Amino acid sequence: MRARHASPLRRRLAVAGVLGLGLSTTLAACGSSDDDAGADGGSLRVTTLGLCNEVVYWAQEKGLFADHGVDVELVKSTGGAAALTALQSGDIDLAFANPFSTMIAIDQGLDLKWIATAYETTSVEADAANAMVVAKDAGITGAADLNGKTIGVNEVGGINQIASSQWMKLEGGDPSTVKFVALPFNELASAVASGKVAAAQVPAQNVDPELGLVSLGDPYVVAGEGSNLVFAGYVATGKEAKEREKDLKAFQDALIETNEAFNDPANDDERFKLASAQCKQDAAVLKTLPENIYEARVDTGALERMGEILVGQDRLDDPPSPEDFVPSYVTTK
Amino acid sequence: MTSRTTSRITGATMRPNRAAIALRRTASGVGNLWLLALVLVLWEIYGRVSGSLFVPPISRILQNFGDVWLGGPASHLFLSDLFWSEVTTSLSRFARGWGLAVVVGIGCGVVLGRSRVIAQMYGPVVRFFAAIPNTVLLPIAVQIFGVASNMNVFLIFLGSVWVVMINTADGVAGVDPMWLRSARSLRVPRWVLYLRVIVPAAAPQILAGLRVSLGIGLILMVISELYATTEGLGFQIVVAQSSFRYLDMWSAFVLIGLIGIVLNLAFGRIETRLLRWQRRSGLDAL
Repeated sequence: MRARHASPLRRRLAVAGVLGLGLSTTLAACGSSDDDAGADGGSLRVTTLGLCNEVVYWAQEKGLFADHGVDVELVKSTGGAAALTALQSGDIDLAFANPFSTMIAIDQGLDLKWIATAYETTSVEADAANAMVVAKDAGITGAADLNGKTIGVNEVGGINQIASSQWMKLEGGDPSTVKFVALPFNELASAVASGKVAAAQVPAQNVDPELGLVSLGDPYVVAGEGSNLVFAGYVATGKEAKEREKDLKAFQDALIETNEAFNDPANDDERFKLASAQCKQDAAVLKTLPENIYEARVDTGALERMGEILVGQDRLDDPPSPEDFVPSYVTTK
Repeated sequence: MTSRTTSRITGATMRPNRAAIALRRTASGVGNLWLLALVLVLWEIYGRVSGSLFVPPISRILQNFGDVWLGGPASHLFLSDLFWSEVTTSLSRFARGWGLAVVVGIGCGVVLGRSRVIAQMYGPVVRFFAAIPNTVLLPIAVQIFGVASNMNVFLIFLGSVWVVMINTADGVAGVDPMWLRSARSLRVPRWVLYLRVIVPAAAPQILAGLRVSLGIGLILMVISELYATTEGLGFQIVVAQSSFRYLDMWSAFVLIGLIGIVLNLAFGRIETRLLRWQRRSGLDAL
């Protein structure tokens, strides 16, 4: 009886609610990133993971972006996938991401372009910056011993899982039998040591003999099959890549200049001091850690090989061609 | 009065009344769903107009839902293999975690509700743990239980138990002393006192706690599977997100929502049955 006739107040509230909902939906639909993306404006919002050795910090500290006529604002993001998502909303102009995730995103319908590389992986085991780590007494001596076991990575479906799967495949293991589990970077080594996972893909410095850990090798060295792979870089939407050629070119040029300074041993003290201030770690410790290769020019051959890795793992049917993926104004190797 | 009496005697005069009631209930049900229908229509329009990969039209989500979670043979109740492997894993974790929370929560809640001393001693401890967001304990749970279902079960238990305990304690503490005195005057054994007087009297509040904990348990079931797991609904969401398969992600959300509705409906039925005495004649029925 009580609910049969709505009071005028309830009716008004209901109508107001519906109008509000409709209005917010319409505004959301109209407020898409397409309208926000401007032409060359000299300012770029770029995501960062807050890693100690991200070259953008040096470029900003030394005023190299300003020297090239571009104003860069750094925005923290939680990961490459989150950054690529933010890119679509127009909140940022450049996402710090890895090529595997970027190519998978393109395959799912996102229009993305590779503007600059940040790091490459090495092809020499002695310089390895990553490791597939196992417990010394686990009786695991190669990829085949990991069949049917659990491997820890920092992100399910991320670049490290893809590289580890490729490493297994090339080293005689069967990655389809493996369960990958996501754990934070700083917990991966201890998870192996305590037997929670059989192996984990970790930064090389986490191979701690005191924890009873040994490395089976750097998955990226094996996956590269004698060549470097692209580890991370900066990605823009196709629309921005077209409309902001000048800014994006200037951004890459600034990074190229930064890497020249980074790769000069004479600057080591200064750059580790900056890295130390950036991530609150001892500069002397940072100096001892293995690093990926600093390279801003884009290795299109490496990107092509990485696309083929994704096809081989059934993650892609048709990888983007370098012509489609990398704008013509981008400096390549 | 006369017409009402007549309607009780003659079935013919009653039938139109029942039909009218049924019609009114149906109309009321449809009326209650108009907002949901409107939201779905607006969602569809937004999805189509924006062309966003992240918020696809609801029609595409439902189509994907059918492709991913349904489409199995009749022997599998038309549910896909993925459904049986992932949903059973998640619900098994939920059942163990929540079931344990119910047993421990009601048990400890009764003790807390009956003893003022214990309530004063442990009440602050319970409130302290109830205030801790359980998701932050995820890394600790992994360290204790490893990459295993026990980690998920533990988190579901830990998130659900406090609200059951607090509601039970409050319900038991609020039992009318008159009933307790009456029961004692009849010299009923202690276990009968608990089983036939205290717990039934506190049942409305206990069940309210269980209903709230059901939602908390479901949320924690998904959250605990976002991390350090290799299977389950939450894991499927993470895999879909990292692969930019947003249709798969949304259809997993739809499935979780449907599971929540089914569990709440089932719980509502049980609650109605257990509390029928209350609906029928109030607490006097005790």
